[in-house]
This record gives sequence, structure tokens and C-alpha cells, in this order.
Amino acid sequence: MSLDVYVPFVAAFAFGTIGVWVAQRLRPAQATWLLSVGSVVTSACSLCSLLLLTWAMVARTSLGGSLGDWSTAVFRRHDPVSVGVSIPAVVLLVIGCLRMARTFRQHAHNLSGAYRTCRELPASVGELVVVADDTVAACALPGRPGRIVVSRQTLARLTAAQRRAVLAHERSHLRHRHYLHHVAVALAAAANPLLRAAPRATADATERWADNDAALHTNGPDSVVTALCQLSGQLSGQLSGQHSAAGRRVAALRQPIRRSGWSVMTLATLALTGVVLSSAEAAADADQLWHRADAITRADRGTGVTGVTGVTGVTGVTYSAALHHHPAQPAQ
Amino acid sequence: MRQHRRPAGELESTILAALWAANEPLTPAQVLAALDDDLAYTTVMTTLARLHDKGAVSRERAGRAYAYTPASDAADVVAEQMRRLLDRGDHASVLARFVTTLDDADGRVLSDLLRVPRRRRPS
Repeated sequence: MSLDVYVPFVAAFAFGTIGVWVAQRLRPAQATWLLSVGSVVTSACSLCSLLLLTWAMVARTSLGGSLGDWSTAVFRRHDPVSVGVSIPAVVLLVIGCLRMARTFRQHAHNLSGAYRTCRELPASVGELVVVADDTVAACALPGRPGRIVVSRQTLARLTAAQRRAVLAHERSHLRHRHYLHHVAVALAAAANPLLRAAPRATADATERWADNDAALHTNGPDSVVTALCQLSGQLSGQLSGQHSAAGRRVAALRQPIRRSGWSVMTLATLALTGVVLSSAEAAADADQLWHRADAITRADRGTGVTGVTGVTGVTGVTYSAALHHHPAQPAQ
Repeated sequence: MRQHRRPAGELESTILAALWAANEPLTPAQVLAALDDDLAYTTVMTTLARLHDKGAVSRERAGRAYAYTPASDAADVVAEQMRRLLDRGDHASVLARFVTTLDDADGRVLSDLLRVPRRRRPS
């Protein structure tokens, strides 16, 4: 395995820093797509690399030898991956998978709850759901169809133009399925801590996106800005966190980004394609190594080998799983 | 640019929001006055009639017109479910709230920005 296998980690680091910085300077729709696609690609490729490194370690040990009929010596001789790299890779892989599973469970639970809520609404309820509960200000509830939930107090405090701004803002969240971007980025960042800045940046980008749509809908940013102020003043006691995202939102509304950003998007696409190709190259290297080990074993023993050639195109899943299931199996 | 043809669902939401904000039954003329919109009177009437057919609003005679009140039966169903969703804490990704990331400091920043809306500020 050559250096290709390490490219995704460098890419994830670069994306988690430079990519996030660049996204803040792009138009919101481009920023959202760049963040979600970039996070998913770099995270998936780095997981793939961790699997390959894990496989490389398992294959060279006596455990690997016990799993298939090949010479572990071949792996030791031809694979440049050292144990010093492989062991952290295994640890990171396990931690990443556990974190991703936990994040997935949380989001699946919340999303299914939101969908169920939308489904169980009476037929008389349309797009807008008004609740008497003051703790809910205004939010977009994903579902089929999604709903806009607003508290009665919120509506009463706003002018007609501000109400329209808030509705248009939440409608934009639903129409562009922003929650899917959020979930994708959350999963990617759970698997790879190098992307930990991406979820916040994605949330900011989707808020800017919805704000822009609302401003278009209400002939200018004023209603959105005053609605933000009105609701934050009213609900400040119930809100928590040390963010100043609202300030950034207002600034973005006052000074919308004019440049097209397509050159940045093209560059990012090329870079991400490069990452995918290097991952594919690393996997192909591993596959080749496997065939080599298989062929040498065959030549040594002068017999046909069964059960190994069928398992080509390895990603290592089989072996990392086997690691847990047959820890005490003797070496051959 | 104002969009002249809007989906019926959006109109219904706009009018329903105005009814909820009003705190008292509204006639179509009053609804029209409470909207920041260049809608035709007949559009408001038609939309209110459609909302009434669905059961989303109830109405009573008020002189020569009907006065409309929003029906609140759905509110309780949702309020309970929403509270459960929000109580779990990690809701940011599912529920995109309008003012989810505001706090006191933001309120001040916003007031400042509103007072001098055209001045350049570092973001």
C-alpha cells in the first residue's frame, strides 16, 4: 500500500479548515452543498483508508493467516504499512464507527419523530401549525409534507411582513431539505473528528440560505432582520449558547455575496474527485497485494486454493469482523 | 420582485397566521387589512372558505359577512410532540428553528445593527 491511503486524512484536515473557511465566503446554497458533499466524501474516504490499514494489519498476523490459506510472510514482506500506523488506525476506526452509530441513532430517532408528528396531524391542518406553547418560537418540522410550526405568541408579536418573512424562512428549510444536509454532515463529522467545524458551518449556511429566500419573498432583508430582533428580544431568556450566529446572519443579509463562486466549486469538485481516485488506488493496491499473496501461496503448495479467490475487491470488513468473532483461533 | 401566483398552501398559511395573530374573529376585510400583501379581496374570501371547508377555521355571522376564528384542535397534538422532540436536546439538525442560536448578546448586536443598518461592520 502506497501513500495513497493517507491522502484522505490530509484531505479531511484541509476540508475541515480551509473548506469551512471558504464556504463562509460562498453563496449559501453553494456553501451548503460544498460542506455536505465535501464532508461526506472526505469522511467516507478516510473511513475506507482506516479499513484498509486495519486489513493490512490483520492480514499479516497469524490471525489473518488462519482466516485464509495464504502466507502472512508475503504481507510482511510487501506491505509498507507498519504496526505503528496500523494500531492507531484500528482504534480510530472503532471509535469512528461507534460515534457514527450513536449519531445515526439520534438523528434517525428525531427524524422519525418529526415524520410521525406530521403524519398524525388531523387532515384539517395544512402547512402551518400553530401551537399555544411559548417555548417553541418557529421551526421547520421535516415530514411528508413538512410543516411549519409557530407558537401563537410569536405570531402575535410580529407584523404582517415579519410573519411572512418567518414563514418564508421556514418554508425554505423544508423546500431545500436542509435537515438532510445537517444529518449528512453530522454523520461525517462523527466518523472523522477533523471535520468537527463542518456541522456549525453547515447550520450557518442553511440559515443564510433560508434568510436569503425570506428576504426575496418580502422584498428586502428588513423584515427578516426585524423579525430576528423581535423574536430574540422576546425569547432571550429561553435561548442558550454562546454563539453570535444571528449577528453573522444580519451582516450577510445586509451585504449579500455577489461573486458567482463557480470557480471555487469547480476546484473543490476536482480536489474531491482526486481524493476519491486516490482511495480507489489504495484499495486497488490492497487487492493486488492480496492476489500476490494468494498466488505465492499457491505456487508454494502446488495446489489449488479454495475460498480465497472468491473474496476479491477486499475492503477489510470481513476481517475486522472476524477479529471480534474468532480471537482465539490458532495459527496455521 | 413579488411573486404574483403563489401556491394555495402558502396563501392559506399567510391568512391562517394573520387569524392566529389577531386574537379575535376577523372578517375577510379585516384579514385583508391585517396582511402586508396586495391580495384581492376575492382571493382572501376564497381562501377563507377553503380553510373553513377543511375544518381549519370556524366562522360565525358578523353583520353581513362571516368572522373567522382558527380552529385549535391540532395545536395540542403538536405541542406535546414538539416538546418531546425539543426536550431531547440534540434537535438542531432536525428542527431548524428561526431563532435557535440567539442569546442576549445577539439581541444587543442586532439592536446595534438595526440602529445603524447601513454601516459596514466586521462579520
